Amino acid sequence: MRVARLHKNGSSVKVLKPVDISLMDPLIEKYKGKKGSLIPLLQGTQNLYGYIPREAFQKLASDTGLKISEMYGVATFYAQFRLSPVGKNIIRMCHGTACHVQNVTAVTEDLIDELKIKDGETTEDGLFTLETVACLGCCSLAPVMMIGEETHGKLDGKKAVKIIKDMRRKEVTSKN
Amino acid sequence: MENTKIIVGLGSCGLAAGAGKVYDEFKRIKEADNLVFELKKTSCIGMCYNEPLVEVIDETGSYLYGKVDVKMADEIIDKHLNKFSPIKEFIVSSDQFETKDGTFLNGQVRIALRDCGYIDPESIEEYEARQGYEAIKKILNEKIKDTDVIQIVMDSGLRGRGGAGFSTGMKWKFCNNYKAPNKYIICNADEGDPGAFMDRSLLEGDPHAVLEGMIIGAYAIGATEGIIYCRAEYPLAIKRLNIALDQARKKGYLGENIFGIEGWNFDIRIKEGAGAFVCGEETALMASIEGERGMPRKRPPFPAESGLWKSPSNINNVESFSNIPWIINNGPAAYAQYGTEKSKGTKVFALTGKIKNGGLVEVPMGISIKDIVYKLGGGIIDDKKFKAVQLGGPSGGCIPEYLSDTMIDYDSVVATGAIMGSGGMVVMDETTCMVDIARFFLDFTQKESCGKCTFCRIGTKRMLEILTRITEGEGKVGDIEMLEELASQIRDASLCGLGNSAPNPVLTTIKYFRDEYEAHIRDKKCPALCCKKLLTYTVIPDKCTGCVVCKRACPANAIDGDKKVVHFIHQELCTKCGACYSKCKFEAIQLN
Amino acid sequence: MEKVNVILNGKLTQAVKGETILQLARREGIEIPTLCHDERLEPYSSCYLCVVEVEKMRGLQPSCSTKVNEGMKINTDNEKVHKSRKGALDLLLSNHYADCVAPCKLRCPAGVDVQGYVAMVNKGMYREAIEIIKKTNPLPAICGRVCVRPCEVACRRNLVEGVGVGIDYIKRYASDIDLNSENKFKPEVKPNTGKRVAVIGAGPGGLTSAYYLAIEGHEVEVYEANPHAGGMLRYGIPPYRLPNEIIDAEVNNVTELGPVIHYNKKLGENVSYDELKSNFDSVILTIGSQSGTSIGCEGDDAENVISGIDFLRNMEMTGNRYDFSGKTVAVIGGGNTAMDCCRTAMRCGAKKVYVIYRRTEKEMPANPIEIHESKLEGIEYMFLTAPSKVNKDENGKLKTLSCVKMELGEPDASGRRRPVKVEGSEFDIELDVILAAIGQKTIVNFIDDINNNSDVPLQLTKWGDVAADKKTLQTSIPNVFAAGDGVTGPATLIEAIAQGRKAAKSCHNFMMDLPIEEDEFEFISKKDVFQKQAKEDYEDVFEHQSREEMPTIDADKRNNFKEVELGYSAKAAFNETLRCLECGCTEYYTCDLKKYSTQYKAEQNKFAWDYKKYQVDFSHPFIEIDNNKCILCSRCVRICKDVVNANAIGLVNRGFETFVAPSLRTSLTETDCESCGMCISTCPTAAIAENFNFKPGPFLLDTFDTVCNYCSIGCELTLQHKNDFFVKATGKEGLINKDGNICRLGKFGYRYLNDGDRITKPLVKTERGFLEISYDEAYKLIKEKFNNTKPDENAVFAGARLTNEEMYLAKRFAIEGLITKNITSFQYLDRGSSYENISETNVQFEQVEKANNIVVFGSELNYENPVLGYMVNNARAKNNAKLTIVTGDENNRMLKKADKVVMVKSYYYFIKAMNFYYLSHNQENRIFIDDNCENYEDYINKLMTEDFSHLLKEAGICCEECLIELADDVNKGMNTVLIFSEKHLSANAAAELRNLALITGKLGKTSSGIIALKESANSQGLSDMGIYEDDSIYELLNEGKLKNVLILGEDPIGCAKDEEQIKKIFDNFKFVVVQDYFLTDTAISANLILPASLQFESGGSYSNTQKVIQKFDKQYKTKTGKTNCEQLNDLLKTFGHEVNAVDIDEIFCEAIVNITNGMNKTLKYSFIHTETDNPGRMFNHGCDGLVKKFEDEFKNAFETSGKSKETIPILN
Repeated sequence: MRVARLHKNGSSVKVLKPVDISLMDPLIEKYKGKKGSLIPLLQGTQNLYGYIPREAFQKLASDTGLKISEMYGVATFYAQFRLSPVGKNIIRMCHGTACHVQNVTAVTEDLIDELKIKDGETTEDGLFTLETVACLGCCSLAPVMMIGEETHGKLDGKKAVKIIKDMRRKEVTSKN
Repeated sequence: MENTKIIVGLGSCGLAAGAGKVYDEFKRIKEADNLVFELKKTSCIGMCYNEPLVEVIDETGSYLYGKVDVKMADEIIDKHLNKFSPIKEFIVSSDQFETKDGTFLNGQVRIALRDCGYIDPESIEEYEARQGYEAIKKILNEKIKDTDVIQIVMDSGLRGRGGAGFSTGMKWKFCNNYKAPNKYIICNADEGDPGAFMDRSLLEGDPHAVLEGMIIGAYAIGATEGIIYCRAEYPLAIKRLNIALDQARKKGYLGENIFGIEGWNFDIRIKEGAGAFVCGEETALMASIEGERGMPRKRPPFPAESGLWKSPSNINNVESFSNIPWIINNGPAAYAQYGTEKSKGTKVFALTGKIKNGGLVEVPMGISIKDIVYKLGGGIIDDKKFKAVQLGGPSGGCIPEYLSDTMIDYDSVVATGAIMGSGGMVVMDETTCMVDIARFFLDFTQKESCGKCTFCRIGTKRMLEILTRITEGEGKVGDIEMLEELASQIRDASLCGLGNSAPNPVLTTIKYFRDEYEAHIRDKKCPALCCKKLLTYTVIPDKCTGCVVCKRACPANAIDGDKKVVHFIHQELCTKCGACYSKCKFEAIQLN
Repeated sequence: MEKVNVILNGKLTQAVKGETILQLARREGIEIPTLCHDERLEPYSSCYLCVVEVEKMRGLQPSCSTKVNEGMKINTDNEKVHKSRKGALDLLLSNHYADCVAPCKLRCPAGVDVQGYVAMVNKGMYREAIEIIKKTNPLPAICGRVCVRPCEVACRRNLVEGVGVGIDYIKRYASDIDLNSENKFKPEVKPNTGKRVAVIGAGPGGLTSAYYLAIEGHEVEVYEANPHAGGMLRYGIPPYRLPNEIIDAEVNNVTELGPVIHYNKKLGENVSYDELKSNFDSVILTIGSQSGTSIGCEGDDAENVISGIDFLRNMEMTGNRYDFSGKTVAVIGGGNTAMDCCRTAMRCGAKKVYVIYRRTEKEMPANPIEIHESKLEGIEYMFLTAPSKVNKDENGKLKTLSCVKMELGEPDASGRRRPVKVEGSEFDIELDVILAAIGQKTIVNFIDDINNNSDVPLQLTKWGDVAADKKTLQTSIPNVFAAGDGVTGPATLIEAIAQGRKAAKSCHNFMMDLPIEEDEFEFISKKDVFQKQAKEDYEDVFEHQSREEMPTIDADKRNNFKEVELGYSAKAAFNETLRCLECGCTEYYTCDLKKYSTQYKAEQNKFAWDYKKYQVDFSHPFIEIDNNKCILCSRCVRICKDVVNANAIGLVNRGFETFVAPSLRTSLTETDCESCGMCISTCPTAAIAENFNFKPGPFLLDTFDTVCNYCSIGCELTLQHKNDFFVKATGKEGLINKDGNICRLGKFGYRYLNDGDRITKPLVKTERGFLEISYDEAYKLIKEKFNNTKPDENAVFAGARLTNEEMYLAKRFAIEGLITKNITSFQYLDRGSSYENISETNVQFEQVEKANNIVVFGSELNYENPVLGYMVNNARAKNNAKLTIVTGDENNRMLKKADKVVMVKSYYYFIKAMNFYYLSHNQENRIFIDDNCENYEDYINKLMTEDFSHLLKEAGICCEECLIELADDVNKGMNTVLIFSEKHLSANAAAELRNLALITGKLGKTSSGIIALKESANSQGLSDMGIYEDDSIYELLNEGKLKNVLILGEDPIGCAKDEEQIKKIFDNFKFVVVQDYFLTDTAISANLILPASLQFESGGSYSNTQKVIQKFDKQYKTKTGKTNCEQLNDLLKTFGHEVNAVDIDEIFCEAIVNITNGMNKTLKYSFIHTETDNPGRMFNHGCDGLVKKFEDEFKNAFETSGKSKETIPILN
């Protein structure tokens, strides 16, 4: 007999709402039997749900024969993949060299203050997810951030916060 | 007016600067007023500091307007189009008269960038109108053999523009040597260096040039499939590539029996990266295409022998490919006329940082750093003191101002301890802290390390920790030596280039700016006044008007002072956030 | 093999083209360290420990993946390489939040392996526990009573419920048992060296020195000034704490080894250094610190002011108690001597005893238990009180003591708050006796004697102790060593023991002309380097369990010198061992990271910054995952993918954040994990280790190699054990399992060896249940019963786990003893005879590696014959071999691993249909058939009369195309290997498969042909030994014609697929004898049970499924008293037959004749046509009760293991 341990589960993963995995069928059909399709499958899945739900891994495993451990390894390796839902708008703050020398750190800090979330987190209202990224390749406009597909350049803290506020306002008015 | 063209630059940076709205405005006016001028799109011409850019071409010549906004758009229509009177003060470049910014373009030799900013990247016709797809047709028409194509490329002296600078022709030759049922030609468009956007601009501005380069490459090495591995962060580039691919397929340039040659089946597909800098490394890139974690493996075997799916594969960078059609069309000698003995041709640089004219420039090899910074770049913002340029991104190094006569060629740059890299050139001035820059790059490589080999995974982490503590005033005597020891071990015993070169930014900054390190460690001072934790904020009594703005801004309540009384900052409470400094309108807060 | 020339470390060396530098170096006997490389896997190059310098190559090259090239100049070790390797280790260790050893052992001055002996006590292995203790401490029974127990202070159990494990009590318990045991532990004494050592003083230090010197083979003589041995143990500690008998017993254990003690011999008085110098090679001074110090205030020379030490010693010397009746006694001091004095004073009848101490109870150096007991015994305390003056009466006798009150001020050098006088607080107390227990000092009154006789003077310290080198304990005189209180000043017992051993070691090295050095560097990883261990990390991780109290004599019955503490009960000792948290690493003795870190003198704290902390995962019943120890070599992930093909674990995250986790971070039990333990076998640390179901020590283990007795592959494995307790099994690079792979059966199947339920005596069934009888009685009974019927009513059944020798004797017994041909095995009952022809066509396992096309019929390889499964998976991973599974089972667990699956209902008809297809489409290999086969015409004629569509229908496949596709695949494919197991294919289906191989001409070529898998370790032996008979016995059984049966190693009832059918058969039996290890269902139904010996208790041989005969040795004396062979020989004798061969090798020689007889095969392969399919097996588990037991227990382990949901094991 060994020492008695308490079976404490580590910090449990948040239980998320179940998703409709049948949405993945066309995607799986498209890539079935093609080699090297793991990453496109995950990208496609993320496009469907905004993140990769647990069920999706299981579905991919049973429908394509891909191994869960490998998929999970890939999904956690690449910065692009998310395992939990994200906000409606993803703010990608460029932390490239040019942006760094133009003091993007201060801009990010102002945004963090405004949004009250840390890097990688999502605001409580689900509107924004903040991500710092390596380089968006718009160095001449540094500091730069990208919200959705739109790029905003030559930022300072004030300007960045204003963009967020404007978007919030728009969101509220459109709701009403 | 019917012969007048208005061309709006709609590259990523143009769009970021508001070019989309400008284009819409032109469109609105055109439709509203029923104007007959031709409204066109193009991509980035490289003059990013002047974005949005609008070119007006009329019978008299070409006029490039910079920093165009909606209001200016109206004005251009009003004055230039309606009244035939170009607005000189807005024009940054023209073939009709000299402009202040003219040197930016005139100092360049545009081969890779030959079409960027001149054609609509979404139009294959416009590409073909400028010799597009003529190179491959020439090869086919003149029945130039694969080995001869390779010889042409070798003769041109083109070296890998991704950074390592290996002879492109030689690489093709190796791959040509291996026979296999499947062979791959891969375009590395996973431009991940922070501070570099050459490839993005090329893909957005002239996607067909890359495709044509790849088709020629496929012909030369006998590839059966082409893959462009492109960063997912470049949605516009991917969009335009997809358009270009469709157009090329429709024209019979890709797909089955291409260019009418029975049995020549070759197509190209795009593989979107998923966000890992290390995938710029050849073997990691291939692992990623195969659907695995992008972890490099030991070479040899080189990809030319056993690459993607264990088949012979050839990987070249975007810029390398886009040079190829030009070289075929104009001959290797035309290319080799530019450059130095060992570095031929031109190189595209992304000029950024504390530079007045930031943007994309293509220069002949052999030009000096100084010329790029001052002649093309127009010098340092606010005319501050030029301190260094960073070349080669996280794998490169900082070249100090006193070496700014260094010629841009592969070997001269390596001699300084930096590397040519893919072309990111970040200019730094006296306010840039070199320790902080080293820490910045280490932070980058550390986060981007795939984690496979020990030195890169843990070694870069430890280096980062040392650098961080130096910038936070916790540096210890011996830290520089420990950095150097770790750096040499990481350089010598890492699996891939990411690890091998990760110490470069640290080693070059120690080499050229050791005194700055020592100031941080010994005196707990940051000479560039950049490292927050080493700064003290004090009030200059003469300048302080006692306006209370800083007092209110201070989140730590560290500022004392009543209205119209000189304020005082309690150092023991100050968290060095800099709020007072940025809020003060009277420059009454000083840093030291 | 193409050769290339390289310069390896300056020497011209021939290398094989294509090999790596590491492979070359290993062949050349050059050691290169590596953590990430395993020859079973493709090179990976992540640890960068194996770097070498290659001329003209930039940087350093990982030798595991760098291939040799002509002219390469390689340097495998130089300063740069060495530095880089150390650098890699420093970095790995900087993120290795783990303990190599438990804090108790680290804290113990003598370094006693507490975790190890606690684990032994837990198993009831007291002798082994003492063996562990005595590696560094020869006085456990004494220590178990009076040690100050730094280990218990260090014990992390303190962080769970505030009280450490009762380590000392456990030690005392084991020691007392061992002391009183007939078979007590006695270390092996090495041959006499002829060297002589004199030890001065028979205290703990002296005894320890003597003990370890004696073990080394030296002659030791001890000179003791007192009339008895023990030193302070006897003269300083009162017997109610440490009885003299205990001291005597342990002294006796020392002298038993050779040392002689001369009593009443005092150095400088009646024995001179001069004498020692001439008679001995060296001297060890263990003189102790014997003299008490006085109070140090005015009047302390008064009569009745006695030194505590003298007080205690006098009583022991004279054997008389002081009489303190009616007296008031004060003891000055707060240490353990003060405790001994006050409690002894009380026992001497004092009216009142005070302890006067200048600080508070918290600061008292005495053991808290002592303070507690003293209070129980009525001692009163005056804290914060210091004596200031002893007041004498006119006769110079003590009258009163003036004291002053104190208060605590600033902390002093010891960290304790310094007591400061409270002005004006003086007071007097009336006293009759004062016992001063302030301190002790060393008496060196022999110094002149030594210095007069020595060339070099013996140096002393400024405190008057003997000066000795701290690391070696050598004194200023080279051949004189010193240890214990005499060197350190008054210290603890355990420190004296530690020093005694160290002095002995130095002395030994000195005499043997070895360098006298301090202990060699040993790298020890410590969690404390990263963070001080705190409650948070422990209290929620372990179940709370309070400490077992030590029973004592009631406080009111202590007016004597009887031992107060009564010792643990067996149950209490056991319970207390369960409190041990097992802080030390289970792979302490085997960890490669530790090995190399020691070798390269790596430093864990060189870069001690950010580190990762993970929760250890015990949720899998056999496999433990501790990411804290992981160095990310990925070997486990790779072996699970490329060899096992289970993909149960993977890397998660990137860079510094990477860790290894089961799929989706669930428990490993929720994944496709096959529990093969291959990950454990490859892990270079203990990040993936066996989740033992017993306290695994770790111990230093003994090992032996044997052949696995589970399946028919014939893997060799190494069993690791301590005496008869088996701790683990590891794969050996064997004849069959060349790369040392073993499966879950081999890896975890050893656990039954520790099962206490094993049958060890013959048992006869009576109305009162089974009763033990002697072998002779059992034999007599068998003879009586079996001779009572007609010979043909008797039968012998021999299981496929018996050795060839046992089978041979079983057959002899049937034929000669019972005079019947009725010998067979239940396993093959009613299954036809076609299997027999197939085994000779087997493809060698190692050729699977080169196969391109592998078709498996039915078998769940990875579960049934896993090591072959690994070969198949590896061929897939390395060689892109195509794997097709033909199965009738939708839940076949191999489906996920296959490239192609064909579902069938009948293997027989499916294969027959394939054959029909070949022959009807003229696809047969005529050349092969003409050259090698016979009976072809007959076969084709008969087969062609059958109806293809009928065959297809019976085969039950989805479509004809799917059959044709596979048929073409097999026929056209190069290097096709067809694998089937008897478990799934009937004998006739197997025969058809053989026909298929003949038709397609696949036999007899490299990496091409059939692999036939049998179920049990020696199924092949049955056929070799002629026990695989036709089905006549099945008819006899069904007709109820058999009356008496002897069943050897089979469990037909327990393993029956149709239990009713088998029970019916058994109902007809009159007398059933079963020989087995455990009470199987069949054994329970028997009239007589014979105990079976294990394969390594007798030695012998198995024939694997490929007819490879592997012999294994006898390792153990069997617990059954008689081996199976001995029992069978005895039976033969009982039945009046001669026994020629007794020795196992002789039996083998006799048996081998049988095997060769069976090998007269015809030169040509014969086609065999069968009309219909025949029945499959009647029994599960190869009819082996042991396999059933394993599978049941294995399944059960999962059902009872805690299943966990997705978790994130990261803690920081």
